[in-house]
Amino acid sequence: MRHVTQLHLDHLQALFLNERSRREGIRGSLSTPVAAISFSVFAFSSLAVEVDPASWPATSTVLIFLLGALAALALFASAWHVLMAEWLFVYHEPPRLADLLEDAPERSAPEEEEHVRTILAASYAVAYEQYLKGNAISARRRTWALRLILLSLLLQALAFVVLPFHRVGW
Amino acid sequence: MGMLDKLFTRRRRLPCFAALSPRVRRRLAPVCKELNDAEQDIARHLGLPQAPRLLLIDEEEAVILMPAERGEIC
Repeated sequence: MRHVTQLHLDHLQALFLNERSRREGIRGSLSTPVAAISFSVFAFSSLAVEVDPASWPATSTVLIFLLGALAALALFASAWHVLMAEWLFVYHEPPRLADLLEDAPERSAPEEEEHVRTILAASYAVAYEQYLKGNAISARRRTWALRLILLSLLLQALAFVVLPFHRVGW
Repeated sequence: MGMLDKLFTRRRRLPCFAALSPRVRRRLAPVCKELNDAEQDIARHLGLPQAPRLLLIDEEEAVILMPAERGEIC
């Protein structure tokens, strides 16, 4: 059995706890794209009221419909990424005391301490890596959700820029 | 009053492993397998007599999976 020092254990425990709180941080930051999605839906309704489909196929109407369709696609893709950031949400926790003590042969106090230290360090290492992988995926999804909803809002802004020309029948 | 007491103060019970549907077990299978493999890898790497046995908690079902239960899912 490899020797694991107290420094190893402390280091891995700190990594584990940091990564666990980072997970909650990522979840909390999902509220930004969610708020932007709801704002974007509201902006869509304003755009829909202003557009006159009867003027089809005027250039401005085609342009607004095209921008609106792209914005809707980006919005749905963003919502999909928000959903997937929360998908398969599992927690990894160190072993229970019962599992630490189970099947333990008789050991001297220093041997037992070293054994428990090694098992705990291994547990923190595994849990840390699992959290790290999950957080990398969730953070990527959150970032894409944010990018896509920004794209959707920009496309809607462009559609609003075209709107005055649409009103005069261009 | 008794009904209100039952409604608001009765401790909710977490769902147990046996109550998990096959669909949920299928969903959790890759996670359990990945965790089991990671435990075996680190046990091999450190030369541990037995692999660490972590707890896995599924948030969607609010179920705590013991190491032996994880083994059943894999």
